Amino acid sequence: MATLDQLARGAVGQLDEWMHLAMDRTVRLAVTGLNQSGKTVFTTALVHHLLHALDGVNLPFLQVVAEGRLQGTRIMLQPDMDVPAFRYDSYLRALLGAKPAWPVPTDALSEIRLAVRFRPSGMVSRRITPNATLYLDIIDYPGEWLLDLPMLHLSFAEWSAQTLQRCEEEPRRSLSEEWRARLAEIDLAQPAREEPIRILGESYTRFLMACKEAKVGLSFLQPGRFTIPGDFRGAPLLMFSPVPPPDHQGNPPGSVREELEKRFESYKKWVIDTFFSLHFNTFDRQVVLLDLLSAMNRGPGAFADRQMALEAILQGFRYGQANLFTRLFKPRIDKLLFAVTKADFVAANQHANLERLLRQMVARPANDAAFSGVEVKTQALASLRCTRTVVREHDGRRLSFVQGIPKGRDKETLLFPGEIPETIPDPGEWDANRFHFLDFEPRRPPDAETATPPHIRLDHALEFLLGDKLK
Amino acid sequence: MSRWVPPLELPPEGFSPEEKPAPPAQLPVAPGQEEEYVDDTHPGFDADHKKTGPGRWIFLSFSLLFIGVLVEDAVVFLAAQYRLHPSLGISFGLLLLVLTGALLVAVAREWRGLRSVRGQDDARLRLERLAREDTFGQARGVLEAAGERYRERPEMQPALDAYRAALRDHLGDRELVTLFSDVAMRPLDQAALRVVGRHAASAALSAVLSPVAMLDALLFLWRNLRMIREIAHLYGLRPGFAGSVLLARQMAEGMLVVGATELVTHTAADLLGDTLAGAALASAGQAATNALFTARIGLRAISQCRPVPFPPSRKPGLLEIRKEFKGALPPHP
Repeated sequence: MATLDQLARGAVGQLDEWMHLAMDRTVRLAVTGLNQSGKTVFTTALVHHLLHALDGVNLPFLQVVAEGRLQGTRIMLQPDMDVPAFRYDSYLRALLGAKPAWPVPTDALSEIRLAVRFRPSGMVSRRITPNATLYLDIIDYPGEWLLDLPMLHLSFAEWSAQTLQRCEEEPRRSLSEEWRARLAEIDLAQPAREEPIRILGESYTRFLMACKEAKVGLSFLQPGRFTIPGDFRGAPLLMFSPVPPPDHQGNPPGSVREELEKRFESYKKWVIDTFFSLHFNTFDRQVVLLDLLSAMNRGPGAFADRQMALEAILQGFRYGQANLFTRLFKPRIDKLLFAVTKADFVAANQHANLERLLRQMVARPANDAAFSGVEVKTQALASLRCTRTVVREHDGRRLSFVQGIPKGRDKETLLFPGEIPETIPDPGEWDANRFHFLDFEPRRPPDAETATPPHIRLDHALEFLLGDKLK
Repeated sequence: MSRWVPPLELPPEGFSPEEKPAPPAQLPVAPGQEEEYVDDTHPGFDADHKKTGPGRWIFLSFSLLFIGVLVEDAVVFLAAQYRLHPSLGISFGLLLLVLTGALLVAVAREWRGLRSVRGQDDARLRLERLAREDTFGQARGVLEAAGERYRERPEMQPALDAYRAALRDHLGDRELVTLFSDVAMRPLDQAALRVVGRHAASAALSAVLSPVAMLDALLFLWRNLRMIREIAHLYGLRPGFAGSVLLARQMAEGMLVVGATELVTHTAADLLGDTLAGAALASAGQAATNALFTARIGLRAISQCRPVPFPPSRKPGLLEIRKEFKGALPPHP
């Protein structure tokens, strides 16, 4: 009897799931970010504001709220048993506690499911179901995984050539000296042995780690798992390196070069393919967060690297290439949001330029993505606002300052961090003193117990990502 | 001097923690635009007043021809009644005269009523521009002034309060215009859509009643003017000159189609054998045409009377009218 009961319950549950899918009422929203861009804070704030959307006027640009059709949101049991849970409660406690602090950066995939109950506005859907529920699965994963995506349609030789070419320019050039010296020492045509390959792989990993360090802050680092290995730590598929093209002999069987290529292909198969088939392939909407301000602080090299990373990400959505990726996986993502986070670290009158700058950075590949039916939007937002804009006269000019507590300090400051340019600055226009963006500590709102913390344009992001599903 | 201001950090001491948003700046208004908005005493019915040369003559001749056909239709109707019996002809003739006179008086009254509502000023023009641009710090004052117009209207206070509660200092001009349009204007928009739905429903019903095309055209004109006047009263603003021209053009189109439909209905009924089914079918088509044109004019009037433009994605369409239209129809017995 128990088995029959279980079967019946299972069937009803499955039917329910199919009904939601048929009614298009399940959305899998993927959140990722490059270089400490605040994806944990974004996801926490997004969940928090949805849970408290009925408490006040916090999401005026989310139509379902503005039109008074939202009936409530709840956290549900997670559908995927094998995926770590997104620890919303503990992140929220850290952010809104007595001593607010930014959450510790995460480097693994996690998930949370919300049920958003609302009254549909459409003539037909209103008739079918007067109260609808949108099941929203938010999946938070490291941006490095997304940046591996373009490797799928590259051969080892092509990938090696591209990587080596990038290392011709600063800051990669000087950072890669040690690894390139190792590469020059090794004879790639010799029979493969574990030790030299491991030494070469470790040297390449050290180079990637140096690029990722805060003071350099590069994002376009492939393969992504070399810097966040997780369960693959020490595995041969994380021990390879790009190599220069062969002379004339090609790859002798059993050579170092052939072994490296084998490992590269294994990485594609066991790491990238697995991620895409198990996760990426199931995403409906994607948010890519990035911290443009820190890249501007670091200068033209870091800024150009961000642009390269964005273009690489958008390549994954490109239309018309009959490659393995498009044939096998056919990602169903139809909306892609690029968001500059930490918009509150600059004055409010600079947000338009911040968005404009991002729009220019992704303009060309976004056009290709749009052709394939992916709607791309760019936006400047702050998941948790921790500064305020103050206008002051200084030397006869009215300047917009930000006021807040800079990271690592305990007193407020007034900062004019420089103006965001309207267009991407030419290499000659970068000046060491042009920008001075600071990170700020989170602020606990005076009415933290009752009010939701302030944000900037989180509701715009939600409307773009979910608005059509909440009609 | 460098083109950019170098970064600067100051201690917060001595500064007030209060935010001081930049005062709303005045947008320069291009020459001629004030005049365009001030001069909206222009009668809105001469839609093609700028036509010159042959175009003007063609338009005038067609208008005269159309009026002639309408009058002829009425004369033919009366002649038919007269042939049946002279007393019938005389009484219908008198009735038609009284009706036409009454409708003309009603049209004139609506027109005067509409003129008594305050005209659009250049604030709307400014907001239209701000809604298109990425500017900052200019819209707040203009919107506050727009909201002040409804200070005496208790039904508007919750929406205006909700708008003020949603204001944040990071919002750019375009966002502020959208917020005002979405939140503060909601009760007025809903009421205006109800007005349009009601008039569209009664336009559909009255189309079935009138046997004379001229009366139909006059009824259409009166009903639409009345609708526009009601919408203008709701928003407290009448359409500006440019808006009036657009509305007049649409009404002229509507009158033409409504009059023509009535003329064609007679022929259609003849072709369909003058049966009940034929007459019903033709009348149904006429009713739908009347309702559709009235709804379209109503939607345009809403757009033109609002103190702020609709954000592109939120412009109400015929679907919204359909909901109100259904509500305005009498319930099933």
